[in-house]
Amino acid sequence: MPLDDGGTNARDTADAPSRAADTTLSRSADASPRERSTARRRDRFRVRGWLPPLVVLVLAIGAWYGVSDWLLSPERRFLLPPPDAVVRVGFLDGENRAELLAALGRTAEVAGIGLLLATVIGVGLAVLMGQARWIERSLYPYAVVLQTVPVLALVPLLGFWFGFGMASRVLVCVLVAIFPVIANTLFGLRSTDGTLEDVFRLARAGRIRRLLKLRLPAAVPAMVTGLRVSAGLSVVGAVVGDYFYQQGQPGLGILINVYRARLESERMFAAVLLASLLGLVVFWFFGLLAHWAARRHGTDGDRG
Amino acid sequence: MTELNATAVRGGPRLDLAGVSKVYEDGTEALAEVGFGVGDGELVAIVGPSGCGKSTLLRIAAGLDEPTSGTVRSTADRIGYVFQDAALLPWRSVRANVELLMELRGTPRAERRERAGRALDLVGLTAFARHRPGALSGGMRMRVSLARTLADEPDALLLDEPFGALDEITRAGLGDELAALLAARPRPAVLVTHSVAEAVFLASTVLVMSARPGRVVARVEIPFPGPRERSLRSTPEFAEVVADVTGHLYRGMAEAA
Repeated sequence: MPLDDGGTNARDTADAPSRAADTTLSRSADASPRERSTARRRDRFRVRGWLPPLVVLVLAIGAWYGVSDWLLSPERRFLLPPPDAVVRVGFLDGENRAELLAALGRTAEVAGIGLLLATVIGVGLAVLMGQARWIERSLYPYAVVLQTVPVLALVPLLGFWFGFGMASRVLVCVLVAIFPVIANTLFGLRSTDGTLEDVFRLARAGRIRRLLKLRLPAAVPAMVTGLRVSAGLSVVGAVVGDYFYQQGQPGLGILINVYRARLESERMFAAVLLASLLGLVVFWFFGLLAHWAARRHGTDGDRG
Repeated sequence: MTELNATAVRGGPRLDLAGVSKVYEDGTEALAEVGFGVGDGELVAIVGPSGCGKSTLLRIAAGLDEPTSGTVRSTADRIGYVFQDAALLPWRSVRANVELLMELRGTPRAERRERAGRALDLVGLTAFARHRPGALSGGMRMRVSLARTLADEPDALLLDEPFGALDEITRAGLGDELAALLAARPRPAVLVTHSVAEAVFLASTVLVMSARPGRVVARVEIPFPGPRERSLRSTPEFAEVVADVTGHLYRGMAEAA
Protein backbone atom coordinates (compact mmCIF):
# COMPACT_ATOMS: atom_id res chain seq x y z
CA MET A 1 0.00 0.00 0.00
CA PRO A 2 2.65 2.63 0.87
CA LEU A 3 4.48 1.53 -2.24
CA ASP A 4 1.46 2.20 -4.38
CA ASP A 5 1.11 5.58 -2.83
CA GLY A 6 4.71 6.38 -3.68
CA GLY A 7 3.79 5.47 -7.22
CA THR A 8 0.86 7.85 -7.39
CA ASN A 9 3.04 10.65 -6.13
CA ALA A 10 5.80 9.97 -8.58
CA ARG A 11 3.28 10.04 -11.38
CA ASP A 12 1.82 13.26 -10.09
CA THR A 13 5.16 15.01 -10.12
CA ALA A 14 5.94 13.61 -13.54
CA ASP A 15 2.70 15.08 -14.80
CA ALA A 16 3.54 18.48 -13.45
CA PRO A 17 5.75 19.65 -16.35
CA SER A 18 3.11 18.67 -18.89
CA ARG A 19 0.46 20.51 -16.96
CA ALA A 20 2.76 23.50 -16.64
CA ALA A 21 3.38 23.47 -20.39
CA ASP A 22 -0.34 23.41 -21.10
CA THR A 23 -1.07 26.29 -18.82
CA THR A 24 1.64 28.51 -20.24
CA LEU A 25 0.02 27.93 -23.59
CA SER A 26 -3.58 28.50 -22.82
CA ARG A 27 -4.23 30.26 -19.57
CA SER A 28 -1.27 31.22 -17.49
CA ALA A 29 -3.51 33.40 -15.35
CA ASP A 30 -5.19 30.62 -13.40
CA ALA A 31 -2.15 28.34 -13.23
CA SER A 32 -1.23 29.00 -9.63
CA PRO A 33 -4.54 28.23 -7.84
CA ARG A 34 -4.77 25.05 -9.88
CA GLU A 35 -1.31 23.95 -8.86
CA ARG A 36 -1.93 24.82 -5.25
CA SER A 37 -5.01 22.63 -5.11
CA THR A 38 -3.06 19.78 -6.68
CA ALA A 39 -0.38 20.13 -4.02
CA ARG A 40 -2.97 20.05 -1.27
CA ARG A 41 -4.59 17.01 -2.78
CA ARG A 42 -1.21 15.31 -2.92
CA ASP A 43 -0.51 15.97 0.77
CA ARG A 44 -3.83 14.56 1.83
CA PHE A 45 -3.17 11.59 -0.37
CA ARG A 46 0.16 10.89 1.28
CA VAL A 47 -1.39 10.68 4.74
CA ARG A 48 -4.26 8.58 3.48
CA GLY A 49 -1.79 6.29 1.74
CA TRP A 50 0.49 5.65 4.69
CA LEU A 51 -2.00 5.53 7.51
CA PRO A 52 -4.03 2.37 6.73
CA PRO A 53 -1.05 0.01 6.34
CA LEU A 54 0.46 1.49 9.48
CA VAL A 55 -2.74 0.68 11.38
CA VAL A 56 -2.61 -2.88 10.02
CA LEU A 57 1.04 -3.20 11.12
CA VAL A 58 0.19 -2.08 14.66
CA LEU A 59 -2.74 -4.50 14.74
CA ALA A 60 -0.56 -7.35 13.47
CA ILE A 61 2.10 -6.74 16.12
CA GLY A 62 -0.66 -6.56 18.71
CA ALA A 63 -2.04 -9.90 17.54
CA TRP A 64 1.46 -11.36 17.62
CA TYR A 65 1.85 -10.30 21.28
CA GLY A 66 -1.62 -11.59 21.97
CA VAL A 67 -0.82 -15.05 20.64
CA SER A 68 2.61 -15.45 22.26
CA ASP A 69 1.76 -13.89 25.64
CA TRP A 70 -1.78 -15.09 26.24
CA LEU A 71 -2.54 -17.96 23.93
CA LEU A 72 0.70 -19.92 24.27
CA SER A 73 1.74 -21.35 27.60
CA PRO A 74 5.34 -20.40 28.60
CA GLU A 75 6.73 -23.85 27.69
CA ARG A 76 5.20 -23.64 24.21
CA ARG A 77 6.12 -19.98 23.68
CA PHE A 78 9.05 -20.99 21.44
CA LEU A 79 6.50 -21.57 18.67
CA LEU A 80 5.99 -17.82 18.47
CA PRO A 81 8.33 -15.79 20.63
CA PRO A 82 7.06 -12.24 21.30
CA PRO A 83 8.44 -9.46 19.05
CA ASP A 84 10.60 -7.86 21.76
CA ALA A 85 12.32 -11.20 22.44
CA VAL A 86 13.05 -11.61 18.73
CA VAL A 87 14.53 -8.12 18.56
CA ARG A 88 16.48 -8.55 21.81
CA VAL A 89 18.00 -11.94 21.01
CA GLY A 90 18.29 -11.59 17.26
CA PHE A 91 19.32 -7.99 16.73
CA LEU A 92 20.52 -6.45 20.00
CA ASP A 93 22.93 -9.25 20.84
CA GLY A 94 26.15 -8.23 19.03
CA GLU A 95 27.33 -11.72 18.10
CA ASN A 96 23.96 -12.87 16.79
CA ARG A 97 23.51 -9.66 14.86
CA ALA A 98 26.92 -10.01 13.21
CA GLU A 99 26.12 -13.58 12.17
CA LEU A 100 22.74 -12.60 10.78
CA LEU A 101 24.01 -9.55 8.91
CA ALA A 102 26.88 -11.52 7.37
CA ALA A 103 24.36 -14.13 6.21
CA LEU A 104 22.09 -11.40 4.88
CA GLY A 105 25.01 -9.95 2.94
CA ARG A 106 25.78 -13.30 1.34
CA THR A 107 22.16 -14.00 0.46
CA ALA A 108 21.87 -10.52 -1.04
CA GLU A 109 25.05 -11.12 -2.99
CA VAL A 110 23.78 -14.42 -4.40
CA ALA A 111 20.45 -12.81 -5.27
CA GLY A 112 22.20 -9.84 -6.87
CA ILE A 113 24.55 -11.92 -9.02
CA GLY A 114 21.67 -14.22 -9.94
CA LEU A 115 19.48 -11.30 -10.95
CA LEU A 116 22.25 -9.70 -12.96
CA LEU A 117 22.89 -12.93 -14.86
CA ALA A 118 19.16 -13.51 -15.34
CA THR A 119 18.80 -9.98 -16.73
CA VAL A 120 21.73 -10.19 -19.11
CA ILE A 121 20.85 -13.69 -20.38
CA GLY A 122 17.10 -12.99 -20.37
CA VAL A 123 17.31 -9.75 -22.34
CA GLY A 124 19.78 -11.37 -24.72
CA LEU A 125 17.45 -14.31 -25.35
CA ALA A 126 14.45 -12.00 -25.77
CA VAL A 127 16.30 -9.85 -28.30
CA LEU A 128 17.29 -13.01 -30.16
CA MET A 129 13.68 -14.24 -30.17
CA GLY A 130 12.51 -10.79 -31.24
CA GLN A 131 14.56 -11.05 -34.41
CA ALA A 132 12.39 -13.62 -36.13
CA ARG A 133 9.22 -15.56 -35.44
CA TRP A 134 10.94 -18.87 -36.12
CA ILE A 135 13.55 -18.22 -33.45
CA GLU A 136 10.82 -17.30 -31.01
CA ARG A 137 8.84 -20.42 -31.89
CA SER A 138 11.94 -22.58 -31.38
CA LEU A 139 13.05 -21.12 -28.06
CA TYR A 140 10.03 -19.74 -26.25
CA PRO A 141 8.49 -23.12 -25.32
CA TYR A 142 11.67 -23.97 -23.41
CA ALA A 143 11.56 -20.69 -21.56
CA VAL A 144 8.04 -21.64 -20.50
CA VAL A 145 9.25 -25.12 -19.50
CA LEU A 146 11.88 -23.44 -17.35
CA GLN A 147 9.08 -21.62 -15.61
CA THR A 148 6.90 -24.68 -15.10
CA VAL A 149 9.50 -27.22 -14.02
CA PRO A 150 9.59 -27.16 -10.21
CA VAL A 151 13.04 -25.86 -9.50
CA LEU A 152 13.10 -27.76 -6.21
CA ALA A 153 13.12 -30.95 -8.23
CA LEU A 154 16.21 -29.80 -10.06
CA VAL A 155 18.03 -28.81 -6.89
CA PRO A 156 19.75 -32.16 -6.22
CA LEU A 157 20.67 -32.46 -9.88
CA LEU A 158 22.27 -29.04 -9.96
CA GLY A 159 24.17 -29.91 -6.78
CA PHE A 160 25.45 -33.05 -8.49
CA TRP A 161 26.73 -31.11 -11.46
CA PHE A 162 27.90 -27.82 -10.05
CA GLY A 163 28.68 -28.64 -6.44
CA PHE A 164 26.87 -27.64 -3.29
CA GLY A 165 28.29 -24.12 -3.05
CA MET A 166 28.02 -20.68 -4.52
CA ALA A 167 27.73 -21.67 -8.20
CA SER A 168 24.63 -23.77 -7.63
CA ARG A 169 23.02 -21.11 -5.45
CA VAL A 170 23.44 -18.50 -8.15
CA LEU A 171 22.20 -20.92 -10.78
CA VAL A 172 18.98 -21.57 -8.83
CA CYS A 173 18.46 -17.79 -8.70
CA VAL A 174 18.92 -17.48 -12.44
CA LEU A 175 16.55 -20.37 -13.17
CA VAL A 176 13.87 -18.96 -10.91
CA ALA A 177 14.24 -15.35 -12.01
CA ILE A 178 14.86 -15.48 -15.74
CA PHE A 179 11.39 -16.08 -17.15
CA PRO A 180 9.76 -12.74 -16.28
CA VAL A 181 12.73 -10.94 -17.85
CA ILE A 182 12.40 -12.93 -21.07
CA ALA A 183 8.62 -12.69 -21.28
CA ASN A 184 8.38 -8.98 -20.49
CA THR A 185 11.28 -7.93 -22.69
CA LEU A 186 9.86 -9.90 -25.59
CA PHE A 187 6.46 -8.34 -25.04
CA GLY A 188 8.07 -4.89 -24.93
CA LEU A 189 10.04 -5.52 -28.11
CA ARG A 190 6.90 -6.69 -29.88
CA SER A 191 4.72 -3.83 -28.73
CA THR A 192 6.31 -1.05 -30.76
CA ASP A 193 3.91 1.18 -32.61
CA GLY A 194 3.34 0.09 -36.23
CA THR A 195 3.48 3.64 -37.53
CA LEU A 196 6.86 4.16 -35.90
CA GLU A 197 8.08 1.00 -37.61
CA ASP A 198 6.94 2.57 -40.88
CA VAL A 199 8.82 5.79 -40.08
CA PHE A 200 11.99 3.73 -39.63
CA ARG A 201 11.32 1.72 -42.80
CA LEU A 202 10.89 4.86 -44.88
CA ALA A 203 14.24 6.13 -43.60
CA ARG A 204 15.67 2.74 -44.67
CA ALA A 205 16.89 2.00 -41.16
CA GLY A 206 18.49 -1.43 -40.80
CA ARG A 207 17.71 -4.13 -38.27
CA ILE A 208 20.33 -3.03 -35.76
CA ARG A 209 19.32 0.62 -35.85
CA ARG A 210 15.67 -0.32 -35.48
CA LEU A 211 16.55 -2.45 -32.49
CA LEU A 212 18.73 0.15 -30.81
CA LYS A 213 16.76 3.28 -31.56
CA LEU A 214 13.21 1.98 -31.53
CA ARG A 215 12.53 -1.46 -30.11
CA LEU A 216 14.86 -1.62 -27.15
CA PRO A 217 14.02 1.85 -25.84
CA ALA A 218 10.33 1.11 -26.38
CA ALA A 219 10.74 -2.10 -24.38
CA VAL A 220 12.32 -0.44 -21.35
CA PRO A 221 9.16 -0.02 -19.25
CA ALA A 222 8.12 -3.63 -19.83
CA MET A 223 11.67 -4.76 -19.09
CA VAL A 224 11.70 -2.91 -15.78
CA THR A 225 8.36 -4.46 -14.86
CA GLY A 226 9.84 -7.88 -15.54
CA LEU A 227 12.92 -6.99 -13.56
CA ARG A 228 10.77 -6.05 -10.58
CA VAL A 229 9.12 -9.48 -10.55
CA SER A 230 12.43 -11.23 -11.18
CA ALA A 231 14.15 -9.37 -8.35
CA GLY A 232 11.63 -10.72 -5.87
CA LEU A 233 11.99 -14.22 -7.29
CA SER A 234 15.74 -13.93 -7.16
CA VAL A 235 15.61 -13.36 -3.39
CA VAL A 236 13.41 -16.43 -3.07
CA GLY A 237 15.89 -18.34 -5.20
CA ALA A 238 18.80 -17.23 -3.04
CA VAL A 239 17.12 -18.33 0.19
CA VAL A 240 16.08 -21.65 -1.34
CA GLY A 241 19.58 -22.13 -2.72
CA ASP A 242 21.07 -21.48 0.74
CA TYR A 243 18.77 -24.00 2.19
CA PHE A 244 19.98 -26.83 0.01
CA TYR A 245 23.55 -25.98 -0.88
CA GLN A 246 25.17 -25.66 2.48
CA GLN A 247 28.81 -25.66 1.48
CA GLY A 248 30.75 -22.50 2.22
CA GLN A 249 29.72 -19.49 4.26
CA PRO A 250 26.10 -19.64 5.42
CA GLY A 251 23.39 -17.43 3.98
CA LEU A 252 20.05 -16.69 5.61
CA GLY A 253 18.51 -19.96 4.40
CA ILE A 254 21.17 -22.01 6.11
CA LEU A 255 20.84 -20.03 9.34
CA ILE A 256 17.05 -20.50 9.33
CA ASN A 257 17.58 -24.22 8.94
CA VAL A 258 20.24 -24.40 11.66
CA TYR A 259 18.25 -22.33 14.17
CA ARG A 260 15.17 -24.43 13.47
CA ALA A 261 17.13 -27.60 14.21
CA ARG A 262 18.37 -26.11 17.47
CA LEU A 263 14.94 -24.78 18.41
CA GLU A 264 16.44 -21.31 18.73
CA SER A 265 13.20 -19.74 17.71
CA GLU A 266 14.04 -16.09 18.49
CA ARG A 267 17.05 -16.22 16.21
CA MET A 268 15.09 -18.14 13.60
CA PHE A 269 12.39 -15.48 13.61
CA ALA A 270 15.03 -12.77 13.32
CA ALA A 271 16.48 -14.52 10.27
CA VAL A 272 13.03 -14.94 8.72
CA LEU A 273 12.30 -11.26 9.34
CA LEU A 274 15.56 -10.26 7.69
CA ALA A 275 14.85 -12.43 4.65
CA SER A 276 11.38 -10.87 4.34
CA LEU A 277 12.85 -7.41 4.76
CA LEU A 278 15.36 -8.10 2.01
CA GLY A 279 12.50 -9.06 -0.30
CA LEU A 280 10.58 -5.88 0.60
CA VAL A 281 13.57 -3.61 0.09
CA VAL A 282 14.27 -5.18 -3.29
CA PHE A 283 10.62 -4.81 -4.32
CA TRP A 284 10.55 -1.20 -3.17
CA PHE A 285 13.83 -0.39 -4.89
CA PHE A 286 12.69 -1.78 -8.20
CA GLY A 287 9.37 0.01 -7.83
CA LEU A 288 11.27 3.28 -7.59
CA LEU A 289 13.40 2.24 -10.52
CA ALA A 290 10.26 1.55 -12.56
CA HIS A 291 8.87 5.01 -11.88
CA TRP A 292 12.18 6.63 -12.61
CA ALA A 293 12.41 4.72 -15.89
CA ALA A 294 8.86 5.62 -16.85
CA ARG A 295 9.56 9.29 -16.24
CA ARG A 296 12.78 9.25 -18.23
CA HIS A 297 11.00 7.28 -20.88
CA GLY A 298 8.37 9.97 -21.31
CA THR A 299 5.52 7.48 -21.28
CA ASP A 300 4.40 8.54 -17.86
CA GLY A 301 2.60 11.72 -18.81
CA ASP A 302 -0.44 12.08 -20.99
CA ARG A 303 0.19 10.81 -24.50
CA GLY A 304 -3.34 11.33 -25.81
CA MET B 1 7.97 -1.30 -57.10
CA THR B 2 9.60 2.10 -56.78
CA GLU B 3 11.84 2.69 -59.75
CA LEU B 4 14.38 5.39 -60.16
CA ASN B 5 14.73 6.66 -63.66
CA ALA B 6 16.43 9.48 -65.46
CA THR B 7 13.55 11.93 -65.57
CA ALA B 8 15.17 13.84 -62.74
CA VAL B 9 17.24 15.41 -65.49
CA ARG B 10 14.16 17.11 -66.93
CA GLY B 11 12.97 19.29 -64.13
CA GLY B 12 12.31 18.27 -60.56
CA PRO B 13 11.16 15.00 -59.06
CA ARG B 14 7.88 13.40 -60.09
CA LEU B 15 5.65 10.73 -58.72
CA ASP B 16 3.44 8.73 -61.09
CA LEU B 17 1.01 5.95 -60.36
CA ALA B 18 -0.66 4.02 -63.17
CA GLY B 19 -3.39 1.39 -63.02
CA VAL B 20 -2.78 0.67 -59.36
CA SER B 21 -5.07 -2.01 -57.91
CA LYS B 22 -4.96 -3.62 -54.54
CA VAL B 23 -6.74 -6.81 -53.57
CA TYR B 24 -6.16 -8.11 -50.07
CA GLU B 25 -5.54 -11.77 -49.33
CA ASP B 26 -9.09 -12.19 -48.08
CA GLY B 27 -10.36 -11.02 -51.47
CA THR B 28 -11.32 -7.51 -50.42
CA GLU B 29 -10.84 -5.14 -53.31
CA ALA B 30 -9.40 -1.93 -51.90
CA LEU B 31 -8.30 -0.07 -55.02
CA ALA B 32 -9.26 -0.50 -58.68
CA GLU B 33 -7.13 0.98 -61.45
CA VAL B 34 -6.10 4.21 -59.82
CA GLY B 35 -3.63 6.46 -61.58
CA PHE B 36 -2.37 9.99 -61.19
CA GLY B 37 0.82 11.99 -61.52
CA VAL B 38 2.30 14.72 -59.39
CA GLY B 39 4.95 17.06 -60.69
CA ASP B 40 7.28 19.35 -58.87
CA GLY B 41 5.45 22.04 -56.93
CA GLU B 42 2.08 20.36 -57.44
CA LEU B 43 -0.13 19.15 -54.67
CA VAL B 44 -2.67 16.47 -55.41
CA ALA B 45 -5.34 16.10 -52.77
CA ILE B 46 -7.30 12.88 -52.51
CA VAL B 47 -10.75 12.99 -50.95
CA GLY B 48 -13.19 10.15 -50.57
CA PRO B 49 -15.45 8.40 -48.11
CA SER B 50 -13.73 6.51 -45.32
CA GLY B 51 -12.63 3.04 -46.27
CA CYS B 52 -12.12 3.94 -49.94
CA GLY B 53 -8.45 2.99 -49.82
CA LYS B 54 -7.00 6.51 -49.69
CA SER B 55 -4.42 5.57 -47.07
CA THR B 56 -3.59 2.33 -48.87
CA LEU B 57 -2.99 4.32 -52.04
CA LEU B 58 -0.60 6.63 -50.21
CA ARG B 59 1.23 3.70 -48.63
CA ILE B 60 1.63 2.16 -52.08
CA ALA B 61 2.95 5.47 -53.42
CA ALA B 62 5.53 5.50 -50.61
CA GLY B 63 6.56 1.88 -51.17
CA LEU B 64 5.24 0.79 -47.76
CA ASP B 65 2.72 -1.51 -49.47
CA GLU B 66 2.90 -3.41 -52.76
CA PRO B 67 0.14 -2.93 -55.32
CA THR B 68 -1.50 -6.13 -56.60
CA SER B 69 -1.12 -4.72 -60.08
CA GLY B 70 -0.08 -1.43 -61.61
CA THR B 71 3.08 0.60 -61.41
CA VAL B 72 4.56 3.28 -59.22
CA ARG B 73 7.26 5.41 -60.76
CA SER B 74 9.08 7.83 -58.59
CA THR B 75 12.09 9.98 -59.17
CA ALA B 76 12.07 11.05 -55.57
CA ASP B 77 14.90 9.53 -53.61
CA ARG B 78 13.68 10.62 -50.19
CA ILE B 79 10.01 10.39 -49.51
CA GLY B 80 8.65 12.39 -46.63
CA TYR B 81 5.58 10.81 -45.09
CA VAL B 82 3.41 12.43 -42.47
CA PHE B 83 1.15 9.91 -40.77
CA GLN B 84 -2.28 10.32 -39.24
CA ASP B 85 -0.79 10.35 -35.78
CA ALA B 86 2.39 12.16 -34.91
CA ALA B 87 4.31 8.88 -34.30
CA LEU B 88 6.99 10.45 -32.11
CA LEU B 89 9.41 8.62 -29.84
CA PRO B 90 8.12 9.52 -26.36
CA TRP B 91 11.52 9.10 -24.71
CA ARG B 92 13.18 11.67 -26.95
CA SER B 93 12.99 15.41 -26.69
CA VAL B 94 11.22 17.34 -29.41
CA ARG B 95 14.56 18.29 -30.93
CA ALA B 96 15.86 14.72 -30.87
CA ASN B 97 12.64 13.59 -32.53
CA VAL B 98 13.08 16.14 -35.29
CA GLU B 99 16.63 14.87 -35.78
CA LEU B 100 15.56 11.21 -35.99
CA LEU B 101 15.29 10.75 -39.75
CA MET B 102 18.56 12.57 -40.38
CA GLU B 103 20.19 10.44 -37.70
CA LEU B 104 18.94 7.27 -39.38
CA ARG B 105 20.35 8.47 -42.68
CA GLY B 106 23.71 9.22 -41.12
CA THR B 107 23.69 13.01 -41.39
CA PRO B 108 26.55 14.52 -39.36
CA ARG B 109 25.59 15.89 -35.96
CA ALA B 110 26.31 19.56 -36.64
CA GLU B 111 24.20 19.58 -39.77
CA ARG B 112 21.42 17.72 -37.94
CA ARG B 113 21.35 20.34 -35.21
CA GLU B 114 21.18 23.15 -37.71
CA ARG B 115 18.45 21.65 -39.88
CA ALA B 116 16.38 20.61 -36.87
CA GLY B 117 16.67 24.12 -35.50
CA ARG B 118 15.42 25.59 -38.77
CA ALA B 119 12.53 23.12 -39.03
CA LEU B 120 11.46 23.84 -35.44
CA ASP B 121 11.58 27.52 -36.24
CA LEU B 122 9.35 26.96 -39.28
CA VAL B 123 6.66 25.24 -37.25
CA GLY B 124 7.07 27.68 -34.37
CA LEU B 125 8.20 25.20 -31.72
CA THR B 126 11.72 26.41 -30.96
CA ALA B 127 10.71 27.18 -27.39
CA PHE B 128 9.66 23.56 -26.91
CA ALA B 129 12.78 21.91 -28.32
CA ARG B 130 13.72 20.38 -24.97
CA HIS B 131 10.24 19.20 -24.02
CA ARG B 132 9.09 15.63 -24.33
CA PRO B 133 6.23 14.96 -26.77
CA GLY B 134 4.09 13.90 -23.81
CA ALA B 135 4.13 17.49 -22.58
CA LEU B 136 2.71 18.88 -25.84
CA SER B 137 -0.82 19.21 -27.15
CA GLY B 138 -2.02 17.13 -30.10
CA GLY B 139 -1.62 20.00 -32.55
CA MET B 140 1.92 20.71 -31.35
CA ARG B 141 2.85 17.05 -31.67
CA MET B 142 1.60 17.06 -35.24
CA ARG B 143 3.79 20.09 -35.91
CA VAL B 144 6.78 18.20 -34.48
CA SER B 145 5.97 15.37 -36.85
CA LEU B 146 5.83 17.83 -39.73
CA ALA B 147 9.13 19.39 -38.64
CA ARG B 148 10.73 15.93 -38.52
CA THR B 149 9.66 15.29 -42.10
CA LEU B 150 10.71 18.74 -43.35
CA ALA B 151 14.11 18.61 -41.64
CA ASP B 152 14.83 15.45 -43.64
CA GLU B 153 14.45 17.57 -46.80
CA PRO B 154 12.40 15.03 -48.73
CA ASP B 155 12.04 15.17 -52.53
CA ALA B 156 8.36 14.35 -52.28
CA LEU B 157 5.83 14.79 -49.53
CA LEU B 158 3.01 12.38 -48.72
CA LEU B 159 0.51 13.44 -46.10
CA ASP B 160 -2.04 10.98 -44.75
CA GLU B 161 -4.80 12.97 -43.04
CA PRO B 162 -2.15 14.73 -41.02
CA PHE B 163 -4.61 17.04 -39.32
CA GLY B 164 -7.49 14.61 -39.09
CA ALA B 165 -7.46 14.29 -35.32
CA LEU B 166 -7.30 18.03 -34.66
CA ASP B 167 -9.95 20.63 -34.03
CA GLU B 168 -11.08 22.94 -36.82
CA ILE B 169 -9.05 26.00 -35.77
CA THR B 170 -5.74 24.19 -35.19
CA ARG B 171 -6.33 22.40 -38.43
CA ALA B 172 -6.84 25.58 -40.48
CA GLY B 173 -3.75 27.08 -38.87
CA LEU B 174 -1.62 24.07 -39.78
CA GLY B 175 -3.11 24.12 -43.29
CA ASP B 176 -1.93 27.71 -43.71
CA GLU B 177 1.51 26.73 -42.46
CA LEU B 178 1.69 23.81 -44.86
CA ALA B 179 0.69 26.01 -47.81
CA ALA B 180 3.43 28.49 -46.91
CA LEU B 181 6.02 25.74 -46.51
CA LEU B 182 5.22 24.21 -49.87
CA ALA B 183 5.31 27.61 -51.54
CA ALA B 184 8.72 28.28 -50.01
CA ARG B 185 10.19 25.00 -51.24
CA PRO B 186 8.18 23.36 -54.02
CA ARG B 187 8.11 19.60 -54.39
CA PRO B 188 5.54 17.04 -55.43
CA ALA B 189 3.04 16.46 -52.66
CA VAL B 190 0.04 14.20 -52.13
CA LEU B 191 -2.47 14.95 -49.39
CA VAL B 192 -5.09 12.49 -48.25
CA THR B 193 -7.87 14.20 -46.37
CA HIS B 194 -11.54 13.92 -45.57
CA SER B 195 -12.00 17.68 -45.51
CA VAL B 196 -13.04 18.99 -48.92
CA ALA B 197 -12.27 22.59 -47.91
CA GLU B 198 -8.77 21.62 -46.84
CA ALA B 199 -8.24 19.79 -50.12
CA VAL B 200 -9.44 22.73 -52.22
CA PHE B 201 -7.42 25.25 -50.25
CA LEU B 202 -4.13 23.36 -50.49
CA ALA B 203 -4.25 21.43 -53.76
CA SER B 204 -3.57 22.18 -57.39
CA THR B 205 -5.65 19.11 -58.29
CA VAL B 206 -8.28 17.30 -56.25
CA LEU B 207 -9.02 13.64 -56.96
CA VAL B 208 -12.39 12.39 -55.76
CA MET B 209 -12.55 8.69 -54.98
CA SER B 210 -15.55 6.40 -54.70
CA ALA B 211 -16.23 3.97 -51.91
CA ARG B 212 -14.66 0.49 -51.98
CA PRO B 213 -13.20 -0.49 -54.28
CA GLY B 214 -11.61 2.93 -54.53
CA ARG B 215 -11.65 4.43 -58.01
CA VAL B 216 -11.02 7.98 -59.14
CA VAL B 217 -14.48 9.32 -60.06
CA ALA B 218 -13.55 12.93 -60.67
CA ARG B 219 -10.50 15.06 -61.17
CA VAL B 220 -10.95 18.72 -60.35
CA GLU B 221 -8.29 21.27 -61.28
CA ILE B 222 -8.27 24.06 -58.72
CA PRO B 223 -8.18 27.45 -60.46
CA PHE B 224 -6.65 29.55 -57.68
CA PRO B 225 -3.02 30.56 -58.18
CA GLY B 226 -0.60 30.02 -55.30
CA PRO B 227 0.51 31.11 -52.81
CA ARG B 228 -2.99 31.28 -51.40
CA GLU B 229 -4.02 33.60 -48.65
CA ARG B 230 -6.16 32.61 -45.72
CA SER B 231 -8.85 35.04 -46.91
CA LEU B 232 -9.45 32.80 -49.94
CA ARG B 233 -11.39 30.43 -47.71
CA SER B 234 -14.21 32.95 -47.33
CA THR B 235 -14.65 33.93 -51.00
CA PRO B 236 -17.70 32.79 -53.02
CA GLU B 237 -15.40 31.33 -55.70
CA PHE B 238 -13.82 29.07 -53.09
CA ALA B 239 -17.25 27.98 -51.86
CA GLU B 240 -18.25 27.18 -55.44
CA VAL B 241 -15.28 24.86 -56.02
CA VAL B 242 -15.88 23.20 -52.65
CA ALA B 243 -19.51 22.62 -53.62
CA ASP B 244 -18.41 21.16 -56.96
CA VAL B 245 -16.00 18.69 -55.31
CA THR B 246 -18.57 17.80 -52.66
CA GLY B 247 -21.09 17.07 -55.43
CA HIS B 248 -18.65 14.62 -57.05
CA LEU B 249 -18.03 13.03 -53.66
CA TYR B 250 -21.75 12.41 -53.05
CA ARG B 251 -22.26 11.08 -56.57
CA GLY B 252 -19.34 8.71 -56.06
CA MET B 253 -20.88 7.45 -52.84
CA ALA B 254 -24.32 7.05 -54.46
CA GLU B 255 -22.84 5.00 -57.31
CA ALA B 256 -21.17 2.64 -54.94
CA ALA B 257 -24.30 2.18 -52.81
